[in-house]
Amino acid sequence: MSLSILAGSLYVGAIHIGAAPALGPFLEPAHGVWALSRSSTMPAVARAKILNLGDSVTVVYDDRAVPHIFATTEADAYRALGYVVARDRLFQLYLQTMAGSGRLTEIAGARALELDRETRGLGLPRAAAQKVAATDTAAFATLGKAYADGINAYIQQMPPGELPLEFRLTGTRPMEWHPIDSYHLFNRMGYTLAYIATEIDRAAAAVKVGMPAADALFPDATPIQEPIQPNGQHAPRYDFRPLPPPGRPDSSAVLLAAATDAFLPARHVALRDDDDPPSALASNNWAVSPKRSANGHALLAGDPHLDLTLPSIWYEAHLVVPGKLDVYGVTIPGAPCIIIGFNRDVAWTFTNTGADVLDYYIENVDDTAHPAKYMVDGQWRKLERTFEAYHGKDGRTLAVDTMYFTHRGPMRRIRGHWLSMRWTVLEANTELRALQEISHATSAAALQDMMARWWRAPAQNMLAADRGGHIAIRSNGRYPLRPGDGKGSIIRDGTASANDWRGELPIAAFPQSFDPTQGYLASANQQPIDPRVSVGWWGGSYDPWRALRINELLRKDSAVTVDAMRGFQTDPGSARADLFVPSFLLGAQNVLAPGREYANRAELTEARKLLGEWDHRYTKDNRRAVLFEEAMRELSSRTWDEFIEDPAAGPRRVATPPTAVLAELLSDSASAWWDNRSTPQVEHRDDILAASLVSALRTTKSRYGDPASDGWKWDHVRFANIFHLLRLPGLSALKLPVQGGVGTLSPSSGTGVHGPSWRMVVDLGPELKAWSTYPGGQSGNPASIRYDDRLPIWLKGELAPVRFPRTSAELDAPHRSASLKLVPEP
Amino acid sequence: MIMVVIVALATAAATWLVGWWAVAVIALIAGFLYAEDPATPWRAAIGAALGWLLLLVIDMAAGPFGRLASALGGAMSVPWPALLIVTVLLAALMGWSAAAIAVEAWRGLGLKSAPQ
Repeated sequence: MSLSILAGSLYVGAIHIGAAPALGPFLEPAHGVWALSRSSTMPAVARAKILNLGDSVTVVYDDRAVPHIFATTEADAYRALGYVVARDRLFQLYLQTMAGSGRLTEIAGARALELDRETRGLGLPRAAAQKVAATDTAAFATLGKAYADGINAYIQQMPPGELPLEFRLTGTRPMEWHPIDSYHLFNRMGYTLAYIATEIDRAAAAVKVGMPAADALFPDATPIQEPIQPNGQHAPRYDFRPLPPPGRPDSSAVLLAAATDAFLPARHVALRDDDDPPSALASNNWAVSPKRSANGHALLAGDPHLDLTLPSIWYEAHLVVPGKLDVYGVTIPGAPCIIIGFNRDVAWTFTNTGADVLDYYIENVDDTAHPAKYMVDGQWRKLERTFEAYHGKDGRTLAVDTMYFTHRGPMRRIRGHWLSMRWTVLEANTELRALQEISHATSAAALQDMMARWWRAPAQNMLAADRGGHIAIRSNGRYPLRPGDGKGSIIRDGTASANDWRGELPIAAFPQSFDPTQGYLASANQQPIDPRVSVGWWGGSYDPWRALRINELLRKDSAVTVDAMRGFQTDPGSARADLFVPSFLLGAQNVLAPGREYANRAELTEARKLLGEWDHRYTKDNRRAVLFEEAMRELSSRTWDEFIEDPAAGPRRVATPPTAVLAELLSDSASAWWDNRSTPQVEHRDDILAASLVSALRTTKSRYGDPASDGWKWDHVRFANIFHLLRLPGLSALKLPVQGGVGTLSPSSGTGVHGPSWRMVVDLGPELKAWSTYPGGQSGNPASIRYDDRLPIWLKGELAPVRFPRTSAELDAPHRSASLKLVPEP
Repeated sequence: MIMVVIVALATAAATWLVGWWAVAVIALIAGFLYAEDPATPWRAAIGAALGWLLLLVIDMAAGPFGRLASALGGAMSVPWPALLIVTVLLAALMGWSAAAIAVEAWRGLGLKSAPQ
């Protein structure tokens, strides 16, 4: 018996059983998981060695666990940055690399195969390798290598007890970091931000209702204009026109609709989740000039809205090289640079531009089953062919794919055609250089010039403000010039090189503004330039609601304070509600008019009364926002019934026009789009608005109880859900009550997994001051108090003052939490 | 009692220096050394468990152990006390079984007769 027990103990100790780790090394308290307790608190004083370090580096952690790095060269500063990021976020670095290089199957097995196929099928790892090869000797690449030195120094010296929990749970080990891994990260950002839904939505809609109608429902120019580049108007402009009625299905759009299915299957599945209201994957930034601030300084605010995760995508850091560099802000673990932040003179932040920078070409190949060549201008060109092998956790090969590439990009067979794709994300870029250069900028204008010169993809609305009182914004990126009408929403003939991109939009044509007379600048992913100013701008589905709101707030306030800037970031007001609520009330009033028959009169009267009580604010204790959101969902569902994919299968739509178009439709009470095709009678706008309101009342009551009850409180309905990177509920922060809703400045999506990922306000006075926070904490170790210590103030919409010392001695003892001395490895 | 203390200290040191499986090695050695005593397997089990408990106490003293335990339980979807119990139990099982094998082997080899 004793032999059996010993064998059993050693077996469960040594062998993975199912998803469970081998219990011996996992549980033993000297170096196993319990030992993480010892490394969860940073030692007050520590010392480490880094290979290639030129001179010793002092790192002082402040009371918010932000490392302030004091080095004598920039290369050493980036070495130290790599070290401290690895120390706090090692698993995040590893996971991002595996995701960006299409190797998630090595962690998660076959479950991750489709994600990896998408990543590699797009050619993202191939593009990363090409970018590294093209920039290997550049100075900025040297800094990337220095950063890698720092990460690898930590990995090599890490005591066994410090191995992060996630490695232990997944049975993986950290890998040596290479500069290419930074490019994998940037490619992932490009994948997330440089793909727009409009093109595929328009094509999917055209399959149902024809291209003229689809063009109107998914327009290049949004019907509500409040552009990033000020257009000289003092209010938003509503370019509402009657929409063409649904037309005959356009089968020619099927191929374009299928192209995204083929190239980006995971993305398309996410986009088609129509039960979810508009995504909160967006961002805000705004700045006011000294003439509109209370203290006479330029002020800048930024909050990028991204996936919310624990640990956060962001890591806060400060790099100082006396006389050369003094930059503070957030980096993404894996990026050898500060991405959003400030130096002593300038502050900057981004929002996503969302331009159309992805095109498809139909290719003529020599062999439709196994092509080796493709035709361009009557000549055969050789296809590049690669074989991609996907491995499981145990090293077993799960699948092998053959990939084809033309000079444009990846090519694959879709509905009997071979389509290639060209995308700015896959092409030569110098984003790292852009971000490293702007750390040295001394003015907003200089910073914009650096960005315009070096930033390629994903296109970003870069906002900057400086201590000289200047504010500036420019939509920086690479915008292809196409032949013909310049649109990127058609599949072009790949056999003619004349159909290739012909160059790039010149910087002078970028949407931009420097020190506008209105005294402020704001971007919130809205259309960057007024179509009356530039007709050649091809963008995405610009959601105008946050832009309307922030412009309204900034117009009203001619003496903006830092605290007002902070307050705007979580403002609960909604321009979307301001526009739609009166329409619901008026529609209901018309239906309830004396003499008009209506079956659900009592319910509609009650719903109208309840909605009329709403102040259009998504505060946590609000009891009416829930009714409005349900009414909006009903309105969308009832209006866009033409796009239901398969009525027998459920209400899922192939595409849903943006709410700005729905607002446009409200101006046409008898439009054919209001008619519900499943009923014998013809419905008009007011019928649909009334029916939506009644249905919303029924649903809300059945789901949340009496309208006066706490069940209707917004914080009982809508949450932030901040999942751990491995989506382990026990390590996540779920059901966090938040202020904000769809289209508010602090947006809250239905799933709660997106939102404001970093909030920053900068006062550019004689001595720059800043305040910031993000949802999470500096440490990736769930046992550390720094794992989620910033969540409470993020939830309250507060910011913490940033410590910005010029020397390590300036950070006095009460504001210090630890220090680290990095010395050269002999 | 002395044997329990020695096994506990040796287990803690060997785990720190060698790894989790050193628990079985220490118990095996203890089993051979104290083969005459029928309580040796149980004492080895207690010693092994105490050795790991000692290491756990060091972990507790050095950081936010409660947060770690809670996070760990959450990550593995089990109550964290169960993880602690499994940890100590694993050491005890290895200690008892290895010591018992040593005792039986000692007797089987006829190197020394068991006490009457």
